[in-house]
Amino acid sequence: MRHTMIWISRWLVVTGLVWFSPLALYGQEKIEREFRITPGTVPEAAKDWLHEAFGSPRKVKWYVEETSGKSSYEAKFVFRGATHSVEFDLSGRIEDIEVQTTWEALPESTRESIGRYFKDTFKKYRIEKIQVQYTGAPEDLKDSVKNADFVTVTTRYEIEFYGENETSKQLWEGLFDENGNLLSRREIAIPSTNHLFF
Amino acid sequence: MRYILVVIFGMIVGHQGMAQGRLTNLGFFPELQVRVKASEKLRLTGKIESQHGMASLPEGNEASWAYRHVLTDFQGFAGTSINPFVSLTGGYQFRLDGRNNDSHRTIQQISFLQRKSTFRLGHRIRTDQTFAAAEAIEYRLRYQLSAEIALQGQTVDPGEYYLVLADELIYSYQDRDSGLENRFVAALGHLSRNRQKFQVGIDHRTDRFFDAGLRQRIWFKFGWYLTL
Repeated sequence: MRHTMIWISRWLVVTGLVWFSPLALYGQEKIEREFRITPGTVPEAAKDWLHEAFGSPRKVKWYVEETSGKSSYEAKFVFRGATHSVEFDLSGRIEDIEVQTTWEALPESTRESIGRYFKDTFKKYRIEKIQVQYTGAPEDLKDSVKNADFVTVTTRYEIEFYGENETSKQLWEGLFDENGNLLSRREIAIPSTNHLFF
Repeated sequence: MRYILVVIFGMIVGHQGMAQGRLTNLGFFPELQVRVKASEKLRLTGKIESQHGMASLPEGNEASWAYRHVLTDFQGFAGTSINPFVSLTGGYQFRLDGRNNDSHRTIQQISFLQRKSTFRLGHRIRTDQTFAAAEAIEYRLRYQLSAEIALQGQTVDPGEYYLVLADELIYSYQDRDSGLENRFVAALGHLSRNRQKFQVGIDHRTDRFFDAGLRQRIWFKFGWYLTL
């Protein structure tokens, strides 16, 4: 029993040291947050633009997104069978429209270019999610939605993918232009899963 | 979301059926967990969990209310990620048993993570071997399916609440005897801004399926999880 108590004491001391020593590092953590809000708290300008462009889509869910000190409003809903995400700044001005899509729905030349990037950069890869991103002047975006024709606005592709090569195995978010050229990419960190597996 | 609610309802109804067992134990189950990234590839996890019985309710008899320290487990794990979704882990546990049947356990597990739009699914396959004095080694094979569901957005962000649902099936083998146990957990969690998670919920365990008397243990569980 005495040995047991000594063992437990040591375990507690080690746990305590591990627990408290790195607390000072917390301040360096980048905070990203998205939370649901009621339509009543959304600027009228945003709701008006959404209504004029999309009519009255069913089940619109509104969120506030906070990323690195920048906040925006985001409306998520299904329109013409696809999941849409429309982002507005705090004044209610449209910033971009993102539409979830599939690999097969991308233009063939864009697929070839993006596919070439994947093959050249990674030994193994898997696409997790694709969104077409439209940006431009509010009126142009509105007309594009109404006419289902986006030639007057900028089209980009935001692709979430897993890539594996000799040096890393990571989850990435890549932004590609309409020709399939990589514009930027950032690593996606998966939040801790310790409460699911232990 | 509708699908998730149907699954939750199914699990609750299923467990209500099991609630007609012969012996029911009630108690508290605090849990403390610390996870450290020791290197680029190595993650260490330390955990203490303790079961404290408050009542025993044999079917058809008077309930007996009395405090009893059931057990306290001290666990240490070392794990590595094969990729962002798959991890391999080995662990050791020392159990301080309330009836002086202390034991040692070796643990091996592989876990898989699936990301969905508003929830995450975890699959855990675990084997363990328990060594106790004057007892044959007990071997167990376990599978756990767990879900983390964001309650305030599409993903769980700092400062938000989430729901955890988990069900685990455990097959055990010891000295030519087999056993089966089911563990269901439903908990409400909160992710704080400094990466701590707090969870409160119910841990419902049913075992002795192959014996004359089915036993169910219902624990009021509260956990504190910290990633450093």
